[in-house]
Amino acid sequence: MDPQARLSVEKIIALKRYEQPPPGYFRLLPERITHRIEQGEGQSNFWETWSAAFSIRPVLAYALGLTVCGALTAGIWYAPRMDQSTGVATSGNRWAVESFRTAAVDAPPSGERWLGSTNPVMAPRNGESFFTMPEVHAIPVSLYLGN
Amino acid sequence: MLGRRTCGNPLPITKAELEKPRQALSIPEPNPEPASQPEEDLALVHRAQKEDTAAYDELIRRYQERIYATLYHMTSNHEDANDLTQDAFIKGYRALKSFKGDSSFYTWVYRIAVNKTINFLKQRKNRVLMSLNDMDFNAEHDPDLLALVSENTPRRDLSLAELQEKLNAAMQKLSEHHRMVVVLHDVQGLSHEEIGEIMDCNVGTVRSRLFYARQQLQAYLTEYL
Repeated sequence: MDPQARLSVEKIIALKRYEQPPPGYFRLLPERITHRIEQGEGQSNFWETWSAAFSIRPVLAYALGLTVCGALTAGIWYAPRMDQSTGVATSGNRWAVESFRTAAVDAPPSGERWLGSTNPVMAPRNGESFFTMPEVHAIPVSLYLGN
Repeated sequence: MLGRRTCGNPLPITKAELEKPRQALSIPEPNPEPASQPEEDLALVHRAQKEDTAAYDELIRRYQERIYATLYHMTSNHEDANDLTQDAFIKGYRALKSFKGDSSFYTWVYRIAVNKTINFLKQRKNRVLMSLNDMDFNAEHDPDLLALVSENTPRRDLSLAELQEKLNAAMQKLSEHHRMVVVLHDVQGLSHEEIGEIMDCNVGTVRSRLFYARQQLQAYLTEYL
């Protein structure tokens, strides 16, 4: 940038230092603000406190957004994936996969797909179908974990 | 008084004014340092944290002019600057408990005001309504400004008020971040480091934004340079 032009730009910008608010404005401003504060204006609830923190440091908002997105992505990535043929979780969280596998072993081969997929507590035993059982037995999850 | 929008009759610069001695007045220097000591500020902040509004009132009095001026130059609108200044100080009071003293109160409250203003300007993107303040009486005696508007422009009858309007229009064409850097550095006189701290960016970014913004302003105001 040409130094002469730069100097001229700076001089023109300096014109702004002459712009002044109406006389007496700064005498009244603090009173107006403290009056509004005493009226309880700007009382912040939980969300407003967060937003205030973000206003001061926008980088916090970006960091929080990234963390939430990362957690969601990781959750989706590590969630148990279902084998379409057996309805059994085949990868992801090891504890969940093992639980579902155990449930599937206990389940009858007749293939009610719901058995191994969602609720091991409701799994019928001894090869009986859920629909033929006189009553549903609730089985504690700890049974599947071997405790 | 020059540039009085309510009258709508800005005075042209006369030949007599141009011939006034050049030593009379000069462009007011910005006051880069706040007038108070950080220790005093910290003591006032501690009192304000205990809901002592009188202490906060004193903090407002210390920084209101600089905060208002920055917001006014950003918005080119007195009413908007007034609202934003009040809102920034109120928000500062409510957030005061989170103030740990890592930076000065001055920088901290500036950061609130700056972020609030940038958000406001993004929302009002398509509505620029200028409501400019009057220029100080001294402006019409400033030899540098008189020279600028008389010698370098094709229109000899250009008034300072017109130049003020052109300048503000050019400023409004800059992006919010570029405008903020120009206001904080060239008008308010803050250092690159202070601006970096206030805008939460590094000094290199501040320098490059300032360089680009000045280039843009030069292009917009080429008629007057």
